[in-house]
Amino acid sequence: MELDRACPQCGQRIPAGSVECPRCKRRSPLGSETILGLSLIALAALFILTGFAARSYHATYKSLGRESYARGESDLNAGRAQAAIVDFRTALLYTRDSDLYQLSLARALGAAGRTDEARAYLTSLWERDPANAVVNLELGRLAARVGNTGEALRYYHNAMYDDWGSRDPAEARRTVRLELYHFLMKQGDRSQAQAELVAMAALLPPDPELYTRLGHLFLDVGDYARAANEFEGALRLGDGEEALAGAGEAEFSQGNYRQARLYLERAVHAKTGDSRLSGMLQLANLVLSADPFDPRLKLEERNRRVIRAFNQALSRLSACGLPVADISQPSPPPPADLKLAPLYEHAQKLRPQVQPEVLRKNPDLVTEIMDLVFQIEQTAEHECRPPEPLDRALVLLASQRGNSWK
Amino acid sequence: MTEPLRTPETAVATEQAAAPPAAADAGSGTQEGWPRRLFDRARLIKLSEGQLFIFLSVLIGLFAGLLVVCFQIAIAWTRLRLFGSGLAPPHVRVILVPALAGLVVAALVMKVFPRVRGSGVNQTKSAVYISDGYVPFSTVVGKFITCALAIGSGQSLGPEDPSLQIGAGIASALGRRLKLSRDKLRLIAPVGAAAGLAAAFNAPISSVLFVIEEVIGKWSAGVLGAIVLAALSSTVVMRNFLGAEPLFRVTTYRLEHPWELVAYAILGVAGGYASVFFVKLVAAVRPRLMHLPRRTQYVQPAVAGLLVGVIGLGFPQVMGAGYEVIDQAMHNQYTWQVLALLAVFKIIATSISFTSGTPGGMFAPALFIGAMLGGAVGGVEHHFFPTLTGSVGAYALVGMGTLFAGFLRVPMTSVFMVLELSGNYSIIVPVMISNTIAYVISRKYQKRALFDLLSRQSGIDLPSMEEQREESALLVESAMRPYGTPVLRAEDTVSEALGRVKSSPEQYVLVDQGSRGWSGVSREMLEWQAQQGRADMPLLNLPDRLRLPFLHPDQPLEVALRQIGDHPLLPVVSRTDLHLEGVVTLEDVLRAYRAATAQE
Repeated sequence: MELDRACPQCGQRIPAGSVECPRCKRRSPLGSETILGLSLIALAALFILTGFAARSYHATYKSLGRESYARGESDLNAGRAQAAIVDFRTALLYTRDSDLYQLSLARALGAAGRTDEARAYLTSLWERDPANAVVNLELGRLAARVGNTGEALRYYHNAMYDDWGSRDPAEARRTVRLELYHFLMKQGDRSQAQAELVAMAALLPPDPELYTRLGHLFLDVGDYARAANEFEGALRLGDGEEALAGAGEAEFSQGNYRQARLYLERAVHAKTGDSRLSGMLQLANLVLSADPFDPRLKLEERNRRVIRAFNQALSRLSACGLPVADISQPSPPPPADLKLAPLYEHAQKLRPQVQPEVLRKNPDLVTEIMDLVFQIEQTAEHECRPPEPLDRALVLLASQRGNSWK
Repeated sequence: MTEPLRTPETAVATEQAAAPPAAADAGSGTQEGWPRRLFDRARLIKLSEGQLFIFLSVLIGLFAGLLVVCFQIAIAWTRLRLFGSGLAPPHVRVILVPALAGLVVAALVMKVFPRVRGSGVNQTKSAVYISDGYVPFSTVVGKFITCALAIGSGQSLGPEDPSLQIGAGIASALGRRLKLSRDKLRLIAPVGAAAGLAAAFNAPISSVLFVIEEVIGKWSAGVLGAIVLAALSSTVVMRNFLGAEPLFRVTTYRLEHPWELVAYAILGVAGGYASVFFVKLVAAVRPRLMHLPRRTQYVQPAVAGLLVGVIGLGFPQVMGAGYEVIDQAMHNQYTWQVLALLAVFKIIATSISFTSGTPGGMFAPALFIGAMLGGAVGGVEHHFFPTLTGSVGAYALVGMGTLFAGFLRVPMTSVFMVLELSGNYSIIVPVMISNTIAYVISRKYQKRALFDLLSRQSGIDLPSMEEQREESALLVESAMRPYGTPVLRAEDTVSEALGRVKSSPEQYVLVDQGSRGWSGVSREMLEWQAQQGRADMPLLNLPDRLRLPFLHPDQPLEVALRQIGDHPLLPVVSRTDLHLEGVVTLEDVLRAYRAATAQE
């Protein structure tokens, strides 16, 4: 059986079986349709009001975020990483989902040495947009900072081929590759560094300055042939003294002394005060003037060069503490512990034959003498005091001929 | 069953019949303007109460969504005005602002809005179970103002439960104005509650589940559609104004090895004990403060604010709802030591704020504590087992669900909430393991769930949804007994029937009518028919034969109670071939109920 009950609104008794409170019913004479209509009007009004409030809220937050971000950027540029972290965090408080702010915060954290936190931010950015070049680059930098070569390579490579937005992608990729190259060189991974340079060379625009720069990098990594190519490319495109010097150095390093001399002469002429280039040119001249194997040489000149080289080797031995006595006198035995001892003995044996007449009669002796000279010069390079210019020229010739016994 | 107020057909017919000639002309557009015609046409559209309820649920969702958006903005504005825009507010403000705001909040609660105390969940349940869905509109206004001030001033409380109550209040007000029936009014408050919670959480599925799990307590088809519609409407509105981004930016998760589940089980244990500690702390402090002299209630929120401010000097992260801190914790920005301290201080700060009577919710603090605890446990585990692949963010995410399961004791909501927030299905296994362990531990050491405990402390005996969920339903099979008499066939004659039931103890016998079901006839009736010379009459033709409804053994016992009426017994038949498995009488049903009560 249903009982009377109290109206929860006004406390009036509601008779059994009645749904509504009689007093409250009297108070609201409006029909359901009217109430519904009024509700819709109220909803529209609330919609407009909320729209204004939300717009104002977003605008305020955006502006606070921007202000904090700007402060953070200036702090970061001034090297105040800790202050920048606070600023970027504040910016993110107001614009939580800004990738730019998060990226900046990650940079600041990285700059402050808080790599784990930085990585956490960057990883979350990466998860949202794995093809974001900047995020990949930052992750690569972070990996490079902690010396993780594998991860650095992965992220740097991702960065190179990802979307760079409004930035010139070719230029951005070059910059990233260059950064990766420096990291790899620092890590001592020359072959990977060289591979990066080769990849860079394939996509180089016709800019002589870039060719020259890349040529120098190839020189650093020891790829002289490619370095020479780049410098020659730069020369073709019109670059001047830097490319000449680079090309000279590249050719010199490859053992192309004649070609090197051509470039170096022009380079020295253009850069008169450069002692390094002058030294290199001098050495190239010396190598060319000391080489007895030049097929254009006359016999007398060849023999003269052989004798000169042999005498230089003997004086090198003497400088290394081995007594080179008069040819008519018997020589004392060399100290047994010296690496040069067997060569010394060999030289002593050959010495009587190093005469223009003997060489003229026995041309095969030239090779034997020069092999010995090269061995003496190369061994002495590591054993004795610094060589004279002709010694260095002979060492270079030895390397060129592939007579390496080291 | 909802009776239509007026069917569309009758309404149209009535309107047409009653319409004066002028109004009829208006349809042609010659006499009156279009607003009048539109109004007249609109009046012709009459909705049944069921249809109106569905329409209203959308309207409620929109209202609730808009109000919750305003509520969130109000909290943000309050925080900005009171603490300034810096990341770390000045210490003087950290100490004074919550205390002074606490004084204002206390005055408003004591003098103007006495019904806004508490989180809002129990108040909404009270509306459903006690006051026919009545939530005064002043509660909506009061909750909005006091909670915005309290949360914005740094009290360690959240905006979700107040949003739930704001939604319920809006729904109740609209339902009353539209003169819904009492049944519908009772249902309308949960509809609004789901809408409010969905907008605050930006998680409609979890909100619907929470309302069903904690407020209504059962899956009711009649209200489920309305709740879902309202939750979706409010979520759409909220996302339109505040953006579609989830509350937290969740890191990706992948379970590499099943052994890692052990790590999440450990998190479940930690979460379970933390939940118990949290509930017991609230349960111990709240009644003590409630029983202090009434005048102290004017200063309790202020003192709570002062204490929270003191904690905030060292750990400003615990002040307010703390969503941004959860987000930071999920992105590995704190060490595990800091995370553990934050979890502890948040428990203390929230207990202080909540038990002081400051209006505000417990959802955000529960999520905060869970995230910090999860992050801390994950950090420790990573320290000792660096090969674990789950990130600290993943542990924080699972931790949120864990504390939700242990503290609020809503296991289903807790699982779906994590899924909805993370959008990652692969995290479900760790979440379920961790949540289940936390839930079991919480139940073992804390008999009553938080909301039940709070309502009892307030002197209200609201139904416990947890207990309701666990009530075992009695089935027909528990009352059924074997039928020890041969079943008669419809084609049997009266004399044959009497012969077959001669030795039976039953006074009322069943007749199998094949495809026409079952009927029953009393032995007395059979004997009387025989005496009247109808011994050869087939039972099929007996005029006093009573058609019987039948039951199945797996049906709830209350179905038997409803169907038995004045029948002496009912047949219980198998679902497969409808063969007789037993019978039940009213006495059998009552005996089963008595036995069940005695067992309890």
